[in-house]
Amino acid sequence: MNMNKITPSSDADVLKRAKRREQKKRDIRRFFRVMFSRKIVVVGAAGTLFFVLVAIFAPLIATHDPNYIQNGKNLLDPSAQFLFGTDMYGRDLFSRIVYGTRVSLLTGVLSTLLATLIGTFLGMLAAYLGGVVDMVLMRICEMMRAIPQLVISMTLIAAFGGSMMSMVIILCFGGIWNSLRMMRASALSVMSNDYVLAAKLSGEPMLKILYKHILPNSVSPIIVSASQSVGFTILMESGLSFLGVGIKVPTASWGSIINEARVYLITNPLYALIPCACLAVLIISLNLLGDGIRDALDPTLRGES
Amino acid sequence: MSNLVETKNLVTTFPYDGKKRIRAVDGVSLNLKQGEIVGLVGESGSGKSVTVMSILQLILPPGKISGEVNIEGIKGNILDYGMFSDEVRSTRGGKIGMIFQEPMTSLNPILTVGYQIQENIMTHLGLKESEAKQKAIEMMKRVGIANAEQRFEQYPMQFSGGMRQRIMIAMVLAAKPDVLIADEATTALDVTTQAQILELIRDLAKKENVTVVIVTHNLGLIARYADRIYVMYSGHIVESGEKFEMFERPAHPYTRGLLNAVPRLDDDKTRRLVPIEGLPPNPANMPPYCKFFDRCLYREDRCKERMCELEPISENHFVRCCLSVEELDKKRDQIEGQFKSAPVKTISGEVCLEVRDLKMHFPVYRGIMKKHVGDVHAVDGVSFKVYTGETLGIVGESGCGKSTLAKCIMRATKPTAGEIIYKGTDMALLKDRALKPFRSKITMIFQDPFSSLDPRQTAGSIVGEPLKINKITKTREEYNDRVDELFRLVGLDPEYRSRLPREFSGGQRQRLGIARALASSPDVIICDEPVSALDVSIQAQIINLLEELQAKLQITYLFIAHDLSVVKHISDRIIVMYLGTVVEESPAELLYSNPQHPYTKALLSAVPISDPKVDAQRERIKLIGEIPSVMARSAGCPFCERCQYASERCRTEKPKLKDCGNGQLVACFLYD
Repeated sequence: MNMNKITPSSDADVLKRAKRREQKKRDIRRFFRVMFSRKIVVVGAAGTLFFVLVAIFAPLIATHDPNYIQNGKNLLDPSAQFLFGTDMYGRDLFSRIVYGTRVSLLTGVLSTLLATLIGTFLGMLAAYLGGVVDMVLMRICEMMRAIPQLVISMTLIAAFGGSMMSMVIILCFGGIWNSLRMMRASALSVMSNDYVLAAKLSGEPMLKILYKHILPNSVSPIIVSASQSVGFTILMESGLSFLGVGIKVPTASWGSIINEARVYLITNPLYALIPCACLAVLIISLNLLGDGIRDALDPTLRGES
Repeated sequence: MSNLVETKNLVTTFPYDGKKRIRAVDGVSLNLKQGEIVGLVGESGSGKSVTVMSILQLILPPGKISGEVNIEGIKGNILDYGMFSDEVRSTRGGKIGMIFQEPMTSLNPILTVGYQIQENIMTHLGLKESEAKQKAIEMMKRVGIANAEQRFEQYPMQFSGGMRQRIMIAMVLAAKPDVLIADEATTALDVTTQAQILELIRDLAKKENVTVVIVTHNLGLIARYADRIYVMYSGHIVESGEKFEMFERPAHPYTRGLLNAVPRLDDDKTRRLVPIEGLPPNPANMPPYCKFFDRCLYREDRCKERMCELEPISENHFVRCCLSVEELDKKRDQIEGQFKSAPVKTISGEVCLEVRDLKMHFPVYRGIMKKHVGDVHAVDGVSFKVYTGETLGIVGESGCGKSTLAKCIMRATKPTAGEIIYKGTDMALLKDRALKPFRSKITMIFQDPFSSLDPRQTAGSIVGEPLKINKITKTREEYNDRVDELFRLVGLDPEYRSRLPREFSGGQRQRLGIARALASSPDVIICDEPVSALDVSIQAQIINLLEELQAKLQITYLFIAHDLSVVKHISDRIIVMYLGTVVEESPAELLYSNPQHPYTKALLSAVPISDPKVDAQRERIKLIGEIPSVMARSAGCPFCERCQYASERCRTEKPKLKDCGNGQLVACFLYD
């Protein structure tokens, strides 16, 4: 064609790239500004950060080996040596709770992440391909939702055992379905836009359409729901451990500590209350943080508060 | 005659960015007299809807209304009464009735239409229930609803869009208002329905001496139905006057510009539209002088000195311009002399795309067992040829199958039967992989510039996408050059490459859509309603761009639209579709001057021409009834139930397209 061709000089290119970076920075700053516009979100973020740090630096923080049994020193009250006292076997409760943070966060975050990834992909497939694929996936979803998650998880644990890894996979299995359904709905609404048709009509392959057009435009509700379901997953893990079918003993888990402590509720109330409080604080913090992410990502989803 | 409604210096503001307030309506003074039909015309964002809503005090906080609104029978300024006072409430719906744009959402879906009319009568006329019911049925009959007694008990979903709008009219008129405001009341309807509804409003209004305000962006409607006109721009009234005076001697540069920008049915082939360049000013920072200054062809330095006022130039003609009419007229010749004529294109005799007996049927299932109960014949045996370099217009009302046809040709769906022959290959039944080479040769421009661009991709990557997919450019440098070139081709600055779609205006977005369609150097571009979402001044820019590109690059267009004037303006040949079939095929010129098929005639006569003198002389053909349900199609001519010439043969036998000489083809037994 007869247009004169101008190669953009490298100066202009550099300038443009700098401009884009500037824009990105501004976007990120805006994200955090909106996210933390409510003070309570800051509290949630601080709480979450606190537990994350505890989990990372557990070996430095713990005062004892969490699994070391000190003979004859069982069920002690808090003291300088044992900050939260000792448990029924004479293990240091403080150290056990510190290490328990690792279990809770790791299983919670990892399994939610995995579930979201798988659910997102399957959800997009269901929306994009429709027909049989959609029908089969949705029927499986419905089946999974019809059976209580606790029951499914307990069955799977009976089959796979209670290692950390299998715990992650089992919890993830319970979480896939929700994100699948959400992603499918979200992707369907994005697909009604002409730009998806335009991409299809210009011959773009399916995976690229999914990745380039549908995913970025439909993923924000999924991120929001994932950030809010981390807390739920942690609760689930604690619940399983409480029932004695969670992480194998003697690995410290908040749920199993609470389970052990329940017998001593009257005589040693702190034994049970401390892990309960930790669990409550962590989950509330995570939920508040999730609310903040929701506000920042999608203002239309914001609640009345 | 006294004024029924009068506004003085009406100002409506909305907060913006903290403390600042933008003026959506900026000092509007207008008056409505008994029994006249007033047109309020302007592009989107000009403040015409906000004006009528301010009169009815329908503006919710934080919006604020100030100024004066006097309504006959109410003492003093109605704005001094509270929003929820009895005076204001009895005005709304009582003295002043309003019909809204969207017929699908303006009726409550869970109440019967009869109840909704009855309720209004009981509130405003204070009748008892049984009397109100009688009155409601009478009103339904008056607006032309057959079997009113039975339909009284029906729900809104059982009515079509046009019928719902009739119900709205019945509801509003039942309360015996003095003024009826129709806010874009027919914009969402088909042209033939639009004509029916507006004629109904006009006839009823004349009979009952009701004042009507038609709020619209469509100059043709104003030319046909209004007596007096107000033209709005950016919250100002820029010109007002009697209809004939205004169209014959438009004074304000904006009014002149609008008239030059709209395509007309009686246009000659060489006419080139003159768009109003640029965009209306951002309401957040309005200039302190004439708001049209930046886009005005007549502007002079002194325009910047002050904000001019609406001043009379003759008895009933007011203009808001610093220049006098003589000065404007003197400048006109000089300005119009610079208008370019339409670009010359060359049409070769080579067939570029041919469609043969294309059918697209959608199965309909019913019941738990999903029994196949029939088919919707969305496209039912369409055949045509398109020659390289020409524009074939496809026109028809909603539901006629024109978009389905486009989707079939694009192969977004697989047609049920038929052939689509592009350069010798039938691609109707090809599989995805085999279609890939054709994807770059036949591309598409979409209707909605907002949903057709991915909001998360930069403009550059949207335009460049087809280049990457089809591996047209080899190196990074070549790619960059080509994208820059495409930007320049559609009149955008390549600097904008890294912007996101939301940073562009509607017209610019449509340019991006065109650039994307051009990227892979296609032979055919299918334009599916490419300008119907745009304002008239922007519409002209896009039409001109499409024409220039065609002349420059020898592209073939399939131009699909419901707006006959636009299709007629841009096309060389036109096919008219009705219920999935082609009823007429004709060169563009002949279609207007010598239409053959009764449907084409009715369709043409429903489209108003934005010149009241010409329009008044045209023959009017009224269509009876509405488009029949997709499931209940007659065995014969699809048009037979609404055709005044229909004979027994039409009901049993389907007419085929026949050549009537002079290049026109028509499917009608009248020409046997």
